[in-house]
Amino acid sequence: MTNEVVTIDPVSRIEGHLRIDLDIRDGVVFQALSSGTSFRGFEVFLRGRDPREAAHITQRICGVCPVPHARCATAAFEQAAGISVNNQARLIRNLIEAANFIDSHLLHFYVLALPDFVAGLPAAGNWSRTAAPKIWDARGGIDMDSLVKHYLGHLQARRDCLGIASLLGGKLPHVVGIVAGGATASVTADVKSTLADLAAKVRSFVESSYLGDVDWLNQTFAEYRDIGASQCGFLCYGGYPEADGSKLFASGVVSASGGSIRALEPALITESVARSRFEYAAPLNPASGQTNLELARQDAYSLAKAARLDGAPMEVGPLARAVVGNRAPNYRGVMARHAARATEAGILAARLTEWVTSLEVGASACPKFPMPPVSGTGIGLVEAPRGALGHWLTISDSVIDRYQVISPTTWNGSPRDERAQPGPLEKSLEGVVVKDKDDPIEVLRIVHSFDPCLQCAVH
Amino acid sequence: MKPLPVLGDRKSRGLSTDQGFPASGCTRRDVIKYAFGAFALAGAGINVGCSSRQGSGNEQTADSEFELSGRPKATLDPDSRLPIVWIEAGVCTGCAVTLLGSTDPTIESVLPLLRLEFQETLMDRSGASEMDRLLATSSELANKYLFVIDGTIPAGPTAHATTLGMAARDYELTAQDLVTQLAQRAAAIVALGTCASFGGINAAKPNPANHRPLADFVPPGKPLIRIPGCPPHPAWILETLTTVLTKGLPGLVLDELGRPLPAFGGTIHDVCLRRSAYEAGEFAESPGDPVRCLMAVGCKGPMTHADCPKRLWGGRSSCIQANHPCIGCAAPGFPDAREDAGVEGKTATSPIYS
Repeated sequence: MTNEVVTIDPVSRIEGHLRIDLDIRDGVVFQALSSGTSFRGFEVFLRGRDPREAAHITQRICGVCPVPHARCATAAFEQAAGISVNNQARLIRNLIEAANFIDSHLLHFYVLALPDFVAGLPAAGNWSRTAAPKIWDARGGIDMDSLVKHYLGHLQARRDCLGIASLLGGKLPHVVGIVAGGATASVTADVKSTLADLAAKVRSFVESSYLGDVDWLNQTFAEYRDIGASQCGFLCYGGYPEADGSKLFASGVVSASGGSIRALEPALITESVARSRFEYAAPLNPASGQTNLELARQDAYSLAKAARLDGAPMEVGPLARAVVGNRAPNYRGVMARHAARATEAGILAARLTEWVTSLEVGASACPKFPMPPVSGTGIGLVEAPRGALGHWLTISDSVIDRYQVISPTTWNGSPRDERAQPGPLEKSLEGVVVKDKDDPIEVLRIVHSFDPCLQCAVH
Repeated sequence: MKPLPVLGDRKSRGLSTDQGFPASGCTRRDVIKYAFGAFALAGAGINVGCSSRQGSGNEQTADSEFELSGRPKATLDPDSRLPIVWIEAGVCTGCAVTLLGSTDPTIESVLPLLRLEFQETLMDRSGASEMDRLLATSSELANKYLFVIDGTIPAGPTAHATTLGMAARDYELTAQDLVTQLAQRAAAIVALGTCASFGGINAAKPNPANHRPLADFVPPGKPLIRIPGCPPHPAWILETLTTVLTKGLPGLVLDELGRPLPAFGGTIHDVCLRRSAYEAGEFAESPGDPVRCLMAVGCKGPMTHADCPKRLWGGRSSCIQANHPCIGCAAPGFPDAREDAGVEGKTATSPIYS
């Protein structure tokens, strides 16, 4: 038996800094370790600040998916302060967030994931390729000129998304327009008309280019429908509030063993630092969570904590939303994630126009900007492009006393826990056949299918 | 607790630089031809101080010669591109994302002018071999490349709070190691974003991992250009890069903090669209006010050097146009005033709403 350890560090084409260690035995991954390698300390430096600032500060956790952090922070604040937001604020927040989702999904597919299957695309190929684009294994089924055209077209579609987010949020990344108590933008007839135009363009690109390209990839690399399944349960907090109080993406939990969709119980969420480089404590619910960096720990490998639901690792993200929403394909691997991501981009692109139409010209989306309560606790649970995102807030003396964040990749990219259970990404790599250990492309395809966001995971 | 799974000695293995695509015999020139041809497909043109013969088809554009301003009729051969080594340290990746969203000029019109030797979010290959290649390239291009860094660098005893990859033989590179080495060999250094420029959000008090701005790692005498903003407007970045490309470093006009003019010459307040409301003493009582001056709800426009109201984000708006006060994200003191933040840092401070 040949037994080798292969380390991939850096893993490029992701957000942030990720290291993957592989234990490869006879050409098959026996086990894998996923490590976040960059800590900044948001949970530490949020303490003592005005809780209304968390919407701005937590966005800086991630420049790829900032908007869900703003939304999550305001939700936690609003629960702590006992306030709700009006319909105009709901629409503006949904629009800014959907623009960020679609922009993130397009960036992921064309820039971060596609080069695993097609070499020599413009951004990557510009400096390191020696040939025109080629599909891996010389597989075909697509006109290369049109794929490259779509690749470049996604840049314009993303600019249209940024246009929507800028008109309603000031700028993206890091919008200012989602605030405690609502949203700040005022919608004029002109703005509404521009938004409608941008929404139509975004939808057109998603439907005419993105969906087809993902479908082609799914058909062409069909073996990856099953390769890379995490074999974990699925978790979705629910996202995009509708006018009737329901959510466009329903919340729910499906166990690893399958079965019916269960209700989410947030009290069962914990973070383990068994193998994370923090001062050791037993797993804690984030409402009482701690963040005490301890870099010197020899028995820990990741700067990310390990999120668990009732002790179990859970896969989150577009596929989890599709499973909980009863619209997932009947496979659970790499292509299931790409397909679910594209499908929900289509759902959101279609809703953009409807939400724009519902905007009320001249209405205030934040009639009363709230003061921080003297004390209180709040939990924000939303969906980010990469999955379930939660913020846990405690206010004392009108300032933040405790702030804990569990981001999607804290679930998907989690290290092992007290029971040595691997996280979803680690588990999904087990059993994968690696043809060339010096060039483990199979591993990178699986890693990228999760759209890992390591700076979110560690923060 | 169960023991940690044993993974041998966790020794690093270099990954091949060849992902299995046999070289087709193309020359570097062909690569560039291809890149331009591809961009022409999308109808993009070079419009950043450069002009090209407009080609209707792939081949025609691919064969065009480009007139770089200051370099008449120069042929854009691969080695005339601006060599850039870009390291993302302790980041949020917002600096890369903002650049990819550039509207004027479009990113696809500028990318062919740049020779990005390393950019982790974009580059196709992963693994230790990429770090080895980076270190080798930085030696070959010593004193020729522009070193771009976004994010902050944990220094001293907490240096391992940000590691960026493995060099051969199992050496884990901290951001501090890598940035120090690459800064020494660079022709000039660009601090991208408020974090790299001044510390920014990552160095917010009490800064548990001691994240430091780039200036702490710049050797004496090495030119340092700061492009702050959280994130910077993409045009601030691209105008700077294209100025260096077309006119060289002397073409840049910088203020005393190394910020390019005119983008950072005046304050947000100088060009604020609500300046008349300010002069008239009409002050909003809360964010969300569509007309009145936002000074009373914490606007940092007077202390923040940048031109957002003129420049427009996404080509369409800016924070104050979205009825929110400027939070001073491009100011040295964002989000906390710090002793080393300079004069501006002592005023443009948290809290945001007062």
